[in-house]
Amino acid sequence: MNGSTKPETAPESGALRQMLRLMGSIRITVFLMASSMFLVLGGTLAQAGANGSSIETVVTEIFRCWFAKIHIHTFLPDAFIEARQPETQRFLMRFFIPWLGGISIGLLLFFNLLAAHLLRWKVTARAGRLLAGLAVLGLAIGLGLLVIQGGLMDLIGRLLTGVAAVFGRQSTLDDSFWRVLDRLAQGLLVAAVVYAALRLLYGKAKAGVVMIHSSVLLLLLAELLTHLGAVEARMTLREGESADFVDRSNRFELAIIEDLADGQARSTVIPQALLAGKSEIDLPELGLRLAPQMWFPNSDLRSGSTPGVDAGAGKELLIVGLPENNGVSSISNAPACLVKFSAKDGSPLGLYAFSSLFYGNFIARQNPDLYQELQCGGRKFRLMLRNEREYLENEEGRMSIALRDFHIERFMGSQDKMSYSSMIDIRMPGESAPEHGEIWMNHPLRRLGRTFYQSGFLSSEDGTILQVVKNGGWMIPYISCMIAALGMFIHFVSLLLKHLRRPGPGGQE
Amino acid sequence: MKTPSKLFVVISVLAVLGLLGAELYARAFSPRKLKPVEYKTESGKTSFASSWKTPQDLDLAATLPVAHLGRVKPLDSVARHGLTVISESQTFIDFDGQKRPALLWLLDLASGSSCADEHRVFKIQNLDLLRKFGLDPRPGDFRYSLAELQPKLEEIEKEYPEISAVKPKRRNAYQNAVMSLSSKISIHYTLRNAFGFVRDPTGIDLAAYKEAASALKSNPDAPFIVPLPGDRHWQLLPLAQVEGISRQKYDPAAEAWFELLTQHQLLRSLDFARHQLFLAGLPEKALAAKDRKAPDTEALASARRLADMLKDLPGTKDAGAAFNAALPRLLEAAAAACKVHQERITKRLAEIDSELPAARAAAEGEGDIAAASEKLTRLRSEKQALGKEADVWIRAPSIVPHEATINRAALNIQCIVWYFIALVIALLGWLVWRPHLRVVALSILWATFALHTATLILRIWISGYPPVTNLYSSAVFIGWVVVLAGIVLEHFWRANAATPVAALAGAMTLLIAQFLSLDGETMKALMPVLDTKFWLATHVVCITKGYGATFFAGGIGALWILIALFDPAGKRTPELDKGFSGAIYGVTCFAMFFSLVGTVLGGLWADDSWGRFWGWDPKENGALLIVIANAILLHCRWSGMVRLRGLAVLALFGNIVTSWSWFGTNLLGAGLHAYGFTESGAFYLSLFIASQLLLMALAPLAREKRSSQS
Repeated sequence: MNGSTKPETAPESGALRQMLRLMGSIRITVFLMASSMFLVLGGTLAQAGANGSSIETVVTEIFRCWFAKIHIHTFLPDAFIEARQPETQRFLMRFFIPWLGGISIGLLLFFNLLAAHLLRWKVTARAGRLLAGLAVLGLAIGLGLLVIQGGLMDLIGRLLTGVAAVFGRQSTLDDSFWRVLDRLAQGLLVAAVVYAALRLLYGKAKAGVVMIHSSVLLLLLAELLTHLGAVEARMTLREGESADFVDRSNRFELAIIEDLADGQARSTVIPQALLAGKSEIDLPELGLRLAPQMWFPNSDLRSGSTPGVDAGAGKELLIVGLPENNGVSSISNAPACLVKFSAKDGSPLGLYAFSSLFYGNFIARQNPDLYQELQCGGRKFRLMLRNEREYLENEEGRMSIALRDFHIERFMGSQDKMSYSSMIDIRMPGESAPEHGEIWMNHPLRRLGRTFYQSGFLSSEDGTILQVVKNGGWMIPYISCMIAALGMFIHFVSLLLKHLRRPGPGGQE
Repeated sequence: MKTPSKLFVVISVLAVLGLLGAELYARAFSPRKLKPVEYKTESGKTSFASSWKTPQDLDLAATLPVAHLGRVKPLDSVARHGLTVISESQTFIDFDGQKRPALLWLLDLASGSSCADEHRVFKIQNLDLLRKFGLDPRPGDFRYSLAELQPKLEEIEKEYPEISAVKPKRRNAYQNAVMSLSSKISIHYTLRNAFGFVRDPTGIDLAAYKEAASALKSNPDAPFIVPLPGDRHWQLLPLAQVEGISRQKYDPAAEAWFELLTQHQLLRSLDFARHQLFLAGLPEKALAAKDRKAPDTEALASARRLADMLKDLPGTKDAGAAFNAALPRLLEAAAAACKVHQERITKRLAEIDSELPAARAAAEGEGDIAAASEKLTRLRSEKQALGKEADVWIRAPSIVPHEATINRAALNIQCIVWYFIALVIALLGWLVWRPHLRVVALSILWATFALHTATLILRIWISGYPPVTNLYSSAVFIGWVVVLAGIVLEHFWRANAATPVAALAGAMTLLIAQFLSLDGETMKALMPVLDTKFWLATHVVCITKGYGATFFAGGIGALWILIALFDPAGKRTPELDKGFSGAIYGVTCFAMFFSLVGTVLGGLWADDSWGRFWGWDPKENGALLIVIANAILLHCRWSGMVRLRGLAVLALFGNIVTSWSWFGTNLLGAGLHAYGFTESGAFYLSLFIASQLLLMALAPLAREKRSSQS
């Protein structure tokens, strides 16, 4: 069909070449792709059913890991498992198929592709053409980086708006249309330059395939960057409130807050990792010592009292540990913990129970914050297990967002929501006057490297929940999408044309 | 393969077009007549009830505009959707044993006529539940009237709380049947109450009445039928009545509705009473044959009383005429209300457009930027809201009458039938007269494809959305893509191989769509996160094209295995097999393109809406699996690891992966189509996968014919 079927063998065949040939074998490619299918299937089934795990768990244990355990019970129907005795159920749960994890498969594919490129997809350009190709490739990379940093955002946007104004269609298309088209156009621009570079380097026949391969690499890279750097959080605001921090999703901390005489408060936070550990935590400045007793990844509150707890809210509420919520249910886990407090001198201050369900923002303000109090050495502390707090700040200071108005529009003749939106005032660090903005579904706000999305609202319908995401590489997939689309388009169209030009009856092949 | 003469081709095309056109005309445009029934006693004498006629102009009544489930649609659509959910059918058997349209059922229900509870429309197939009701199973029909259910209904209703507590996925068949019946009954009452009004409002407790009626406002199934010039939202009839009483003047639209429903109730109650009387006069044998129960003496007495009373009422004879006279009044009132809003919206939009440039300049310039930018945001969001209102008051009312015609044409069913005919003829072509039958099958495919395209265009026109917005429309669109691909391929590769695959896929996907439409409204309003036309038009369309192309490649693979196994009439040549190989390969290239680009676009949508490109959730993973399956096929082919037989097997594997991604991932999460799909859906999905596995297992027996030189 094309160059790939017949490897271009060089006359010499050293050990390195042999190894490359093995590594770059297309059979390995197919094997790795088939393995990834099994992995994805296993990861999907693991999220479903009564014994399903949360998406986060599946992602860490199956996709973003070196080796994965694909549990056999996830392939069996729930009804079948439930019909067994508890012992049999536990027995069944124990079996798993060890499999290559997502990182391993990704890396192996990367090496496979690399070896294949060294062997079969070699750069054919020489001398001037090679230099020109490399120069254009450099241009493409520079352009790509510019796009990723948002440097072209306005340029193409304005160009498009200009074109639209000429055709007089501007008023009929909504904002989101232009916004996305703008980004795809930026991606297409990069993709076109990439194509030019690859065409110079690899020639007409192979440029398309190399493009497709590089788009896959770029997607893997973006996923890696997300894995390493992306931060998901929420901001909960009632009308009239303002906040300069966000609540990190799925990460928690114990805050010990001391209200100072001048009306200020001083917070000390214990991160989740320490709370889930066993070692004692010494806080000499506060004159406190903490001994974490138990960490529940997911829990619920019942009436009764938590065994062993002799101080605070846990005396009147029973904290029960629950299995983690599965990925299909989309309910987030509600962690809880038991912590023993003592004074500097070792005198006991009581065993406290903390639940994330005491935190107002965590439960979408269905109840107010439930602080627990602790007194020690004449100082008063308020305690709260809350989502890890991240302040919105840069060198110049903090930014804050105030919710002016929250509005829900419903479909006529229906309770279904048509849209909901938050009118906000944004005060950027170092700015004195706030700037007005609106966030609604599919119309996020991007500030300080973070993106604020309309995600939900309080059940009283007078407050908003914004999803806040920090991901430096968010533009990469746009570029990658257009590289893949252009590459495949060029490749498949050239195959089709080649085929149609071929004479003979029957047409095909 | 010999090509048939031009004349044959022309005749075949003309004949097919003629047949299809005639059927379409007969369905959609010829006026509908409801047959009046001649009641005859055994002696041959015409009885009392023979004077029954259908004087109501149902065709015009079908076009009355109603706001329901988030959009404005004809009354006919409300009736069809309601009856489909309750009865899984768009027609019902009237008390006289005749098949009648859903609209008549809705009007009976809405007007509170005495026959409404007698219509056998509630479909119950669970034998345990039927036993509890003390009813006999009615094989082939399984439909029961509310009157039949009523005696034991209270007892069954006591089980609701207990069953509701059980998670939907954990319910057994009986519990599912109870919950399904409960939702059907609640829709029955919602529809009845939303049209209901107090016939004699003197002395009623207005506040209590208003409160009861207001509860309907939050009921998602309630139709809002009164368009008011002074209100942005359509109103419920009972609330419009409360309003009218307090203002001492009814709105013209509400008044026309009162008249319409009152006259309908009069007509149908009288007919029903006459029918009861007539039945009472029939001999036992005739009763048994008709499977209608004779009214007991008490009912008979009341029927007689009613008939006597109604017969002498002034104006009874003119009830039909009065009904018909109310129709144009109602349509005029609705049009007048729309016009008021239309003017308001157009005027305000023009104002905003003229204010926007200045506001934009102010927000970017010097001065009080905070106030200026707030003004700009307000203008923008008002403009957006007005755009949605324009949909309700300007766009929709102009389409409503046509939607009623489109409903009547039942294009989906017509397409299914004709695709099957094309399939049979194309398969026959593999046994005899291949060149000629190929042309006939292809002309039918072309014509049916045109109809299929029309359904898509009409849907886009009516809903104002890109073609795919939900599972139902994805089925219609996937079928369309496959048939299009089939037609194109058949013209390049004249082997009569693409036609049967395309025809089968077209018929099957439309059948699936028909099955999915049992949930009711297929153009439901979208959740806010999905309501972005750009993504619906790009991501969803791309990904469904990917599904369609993958299915098509799989279908060609299946056809080759079948042909190679049976090798009908020694038709196979090396060239033919080469063609099959090329077709599977070429179609998979398309599938790869659309599924990869579609999947990445889906990630971009997720990034745009939630700030994450890829979240590993089941639906995303399903799409990824299709991409990888296609990539495997292409790499195997490029490397020469497989030949035709391997390609066919891999393409069938693609079928399994795609069907699982399309439906299987929905099965993982309960509640998405809890009773419409999961029960039998899982069964049919397994059946499909098993059939593909069987074909894959048979593949080793199939031999590829190769030319001697290769």
